[in-house]
Amino acid sequence: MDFPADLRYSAEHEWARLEPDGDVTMGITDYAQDALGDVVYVAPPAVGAAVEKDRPVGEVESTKSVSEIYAPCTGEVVAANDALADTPETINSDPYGNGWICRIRPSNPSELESMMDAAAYRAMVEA
Amino acid sequence: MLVQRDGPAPGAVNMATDAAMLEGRRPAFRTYAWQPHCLSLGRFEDEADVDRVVAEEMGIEVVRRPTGGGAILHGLDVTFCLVRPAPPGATVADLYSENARAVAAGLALLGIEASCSDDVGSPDVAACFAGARGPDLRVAGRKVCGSALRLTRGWCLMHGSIPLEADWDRTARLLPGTDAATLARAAITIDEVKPGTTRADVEEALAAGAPACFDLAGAFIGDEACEPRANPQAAL
Repeated sequence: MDFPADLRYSAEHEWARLEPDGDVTMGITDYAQDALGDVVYVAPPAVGAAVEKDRPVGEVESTKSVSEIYAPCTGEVVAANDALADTPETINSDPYGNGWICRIRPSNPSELESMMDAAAYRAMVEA
Repeated sequence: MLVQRDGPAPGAVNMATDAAMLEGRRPAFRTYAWQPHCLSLGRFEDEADVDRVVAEEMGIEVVRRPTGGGAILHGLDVTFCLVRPAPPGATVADLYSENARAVAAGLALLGIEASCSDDVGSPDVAACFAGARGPDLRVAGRKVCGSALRLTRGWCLMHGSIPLEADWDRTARLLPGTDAATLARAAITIDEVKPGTTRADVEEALAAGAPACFDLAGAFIGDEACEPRANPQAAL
């Protein structure tokens, strides 16, 4: 199980990375993809959509199971990973890389500070 | 756990009722029926899979479920909705397994022995009953319960459909590319397993057997609780 140190984590198993340009890239964690099983469909948010921290921002389907994804911060969606429409399994194989789901331009970047660091998230899932 | 037995209702009403039960975050088990008969599509299923002209000719509604999976024609089935917490650390496979054991406990009260399989199962198809996957309950190797999940904020909603009688010809007409003979081979009905069993029999058995496998907070309490003889409600 992978817990990259440069990411922040939510209790709902999303990860968020603050990029050098100030945007936030997000996806679901290695732990989450493993618990879900083979992902067969991803519904990312629309570019331009306003999102609110901890509110649903998309959905994934695996093994006839639909799971909500929650926004790590409030802001506007500036990019969505459209490649997941054809290759949703990338969420399983590369959750922190090509399996990213969307990028958000945060209205309040400090919201990420309330998320867990890698050590805290690891402790939560291994508890 | 709240146990609720509802009569037939339109598809939109049934889906709204289930969504409200999930939103309510209260352990619940509900059985229900559909009037008019209704084709339910999985959350992300392509609407182009459905022949809308045929649906209109048949007087069949089409509704979208919040859960995943493939299409199911409801009318000659018993449908249920199970709402319970998803324990921390539980995988989707764990939830399917526990929920399936609870449903199997209900069917056992009718003398029907249903079980899951370890195999991965068939690939994605438009019709739910055209193939079984590991977590799907089977009798004699044929799928007896179609099921799908939705997970939201630590809670799980499971939809299930148990066919009372074969409705495969209508299903195939509604879903071009689906073969009625394939459905008849892959799935099994209550009428085939226990002829003479009524809708009320199945609803009563599920309502008595499945909720007894969970504690008041909705946590699965193990296979022993699912044994019919250990079930205090098993007075059928």
